[in-house]
Amino acid sequence: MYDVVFIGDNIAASPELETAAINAQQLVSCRGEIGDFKIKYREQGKNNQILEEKTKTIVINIKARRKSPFCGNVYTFDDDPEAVQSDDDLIFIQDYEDLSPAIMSSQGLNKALLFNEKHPENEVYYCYRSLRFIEDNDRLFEKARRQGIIFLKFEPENFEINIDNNEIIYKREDISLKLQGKIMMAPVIESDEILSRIARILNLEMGTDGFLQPENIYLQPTASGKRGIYVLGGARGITAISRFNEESEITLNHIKSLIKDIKPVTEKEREIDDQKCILCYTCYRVCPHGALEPDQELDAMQINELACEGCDACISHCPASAISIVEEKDEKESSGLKVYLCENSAEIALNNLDQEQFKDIKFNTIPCSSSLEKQDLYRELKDKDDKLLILGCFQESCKHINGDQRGERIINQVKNTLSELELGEERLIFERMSPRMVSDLELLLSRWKEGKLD
Amino acid sequence: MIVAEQKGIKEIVEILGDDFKDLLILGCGTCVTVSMAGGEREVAAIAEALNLYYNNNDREVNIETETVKRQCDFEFIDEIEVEIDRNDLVLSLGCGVGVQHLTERYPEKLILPGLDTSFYGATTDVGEWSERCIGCGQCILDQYLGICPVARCSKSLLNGPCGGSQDGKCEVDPEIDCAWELIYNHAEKLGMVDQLLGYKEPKDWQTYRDGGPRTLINEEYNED
Repeated sequence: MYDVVFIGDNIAASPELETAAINAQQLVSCRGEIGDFKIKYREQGKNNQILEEKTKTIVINIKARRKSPFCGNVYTFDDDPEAVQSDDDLIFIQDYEDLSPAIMSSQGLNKALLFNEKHPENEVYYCYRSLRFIEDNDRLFEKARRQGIIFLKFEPENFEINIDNNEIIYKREDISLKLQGKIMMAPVIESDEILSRIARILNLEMGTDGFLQPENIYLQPTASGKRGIYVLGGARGITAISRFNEESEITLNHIKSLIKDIKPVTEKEREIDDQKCILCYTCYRVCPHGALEPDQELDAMQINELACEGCDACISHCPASAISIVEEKDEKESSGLKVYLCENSAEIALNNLDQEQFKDIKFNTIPCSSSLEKQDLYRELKDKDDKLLILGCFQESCKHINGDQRGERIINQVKNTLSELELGEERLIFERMSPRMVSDLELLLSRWKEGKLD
Repeated sequence: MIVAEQKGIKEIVEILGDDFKDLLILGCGTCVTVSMAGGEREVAAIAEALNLYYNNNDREVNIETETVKRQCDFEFIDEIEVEIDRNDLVLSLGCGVGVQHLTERYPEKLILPGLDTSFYGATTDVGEWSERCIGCGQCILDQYLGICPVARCSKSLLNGPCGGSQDGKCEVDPEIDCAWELIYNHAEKLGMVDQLLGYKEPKDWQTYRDGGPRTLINEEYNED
C-alpha cells in the first residue's frame, strides 16, 4: 500500500512517504476511497497486462500543454533566445486575454534579461497585455527597465503582429511604432486532453477549460472534490503552474498528517437497498465527492463511508428511492412559515442572530440544498398559508461543489408544478446566503415574514 | 432502454378527470426509472403534488403509490392485483407498453398514462438521453460502422448526407449532429471509408411497422 500514487510525474517526495507514479495513458480504473484506493493500469510494453496498485491517496500531476500561438514556425519563450540570435533586435510578446500566469512573465523577463546582457548592441522589446508581479517578477521587471529593455503594454486593437516579416505595429493616439526583430511569443497554455479521461476514471468533477479543479472555496489549495485525491500544477489550472513548488509541499505535508488517522466526515449511516437499486448510476454521477461505486458483485451501488461528505444528493436524486439514512425521519408536520437552512451557510448565520424575533418560524436544517426531495417540498406547502423559504449557498461556495445548483433545479421544478396548478409558486422561495451574512439574513427573514420578498 | 418523460402535471390532472376517489399511481422500476420519469422517486413526487392540488381544491381523493419492477411482465403486475382492485383509477408511470400491459391484465380497470414515451436511447449525460435506435427489425449497423443512419439521420438517408448538413450539424435542428458526418469521420478514423462508397439499396421496411404491429417468437422457448 503506497501513501501516494502520482498520476503523471512523481515529484521528489519526502522519505516519509511511500510513493509511486503511474502514467496517465496507462490508467484503466480506480475503485475505493481515501485510505484504500485500488488503481488498475496497463503494463507498459507488448503484454498489455493489467496491474494493480493500492494507495492511500492520489495526486494528479500532469503538465499543461504549451504550444505556439500561431501555426507555423514561431519562436516561443520555451526556445533559447540564442538560437534565434542574429543581428536583429528581439521582440518578446506576452499576449493573453486574462492575466498571464506569473511563471510566464518570469520566464519571459529572465530570457529578455539574459539576451540583453549578452547582446547590449541589440534592442529588446517586451510587449505585453498583462504581467504578473508576484514572487520575483517585481525585481526582474525593475532590473530589465534599468538595463534598457523597452516595455510596451498593448491591447489587441492597437497591436498588430506580422510573423512572416518579423514585424510588429504598435499604435496609440500619441504614438505609432513599426518594429522589426525576431519575435518570441509566450506559448499558449492549455489543459492536457488526458485530464478528461482521468476525471472519468476517477469520477471527479471537472473545472473550467478542461482543468481538474472546480472553482470552489472549499477546494483550496489543491483538493479535488473527492477526498484523498489532489490536483497539482497543470492539472489544476493555469495559475497553479507558477505555484507548483509551494503547492506540492503543502499538499504532501497535508497528506502526511491526513493518512495517520483517516476518519469519516459524516457520522450518519446511509444504506442502499440492494433490492431497489437498479444500478442506473445516477448516484455515481450526481455525487460531488465521488463516494459511490458499484459493489464487487455488481448487485447494487455502495457508499464509501470515508469518501461520503454527507450532502445526501444521492438520496434525493435516486430515481428508485433506494438510498436512505439509517435513522427515524422526523415527520412532524407543521404549518405556517418554514425555513430550510443549509448547515454550511445560513444555519451558521442564524446561530449568530437574535432568534427571538423569529420564533413563529419553523427552522429546519438541511445538509445541502441538493438533498431536497420534491415530495417533501409539496408536503411543506400543503395548507394555503404555508410558505417555505430555502436558504442555500452561493455558487462556488457550496461545500458540496455544485449542490446549490442541483438544489435550485429541484426547487424550480416544484415551482413549475405549483405554477401550472395555480397553487402559488411564490410560496416557495430560494435564496443564497453565506455564514457571515448575519444582518442580511435578519433583514431577509423580516421581509419574508412580512410578505415583501418576491 | 426505453426513454420517457413525465407529462405536465396539468395534463395529468386533466387526464385523471373528476370522476374518482381512490387513485393508484403505479411506477415502473426499470427503463423509466433510469430515465427519471416513472420510478419510485417520481411516483412519490407526483402523489404529493396531486395531494396538494386536490387538497387546495377541496376534493377528497385518496392516493396510493406502488412501484413494480417491470410493468411489461405479467408476473410483476400480478403482484399488485389487490392494490389495483381497491382503487377507482390507475395512473401508470410506465412507458406505453406498461400502460397497455396493465390494461390487458386488468380489463375491468381504467389505466391512464402519466408519461410520454419518447424513444430507445442511451444516457448521454446526467439527465440527458439521446435516440440511438428505432427498432426497425433489421439491423444495418455493420454497413455503417456502428452509427445508424436510420435512427440518427433526420431523413434516414442510406447513401450519404443531404445538402442540409452544415458544419457537422443537421438542418432540421442545429443541436442535432449530422449522422453522416459522424459516420464519415468514424470511417476515416478506422481507415474504412471505402466501405461507404458502394450504393445501398432501399431498405425493406416490412420488418418495421410497415408490416403492421409485430410479434416476435423465439422458437427455442415458444413453438407457436
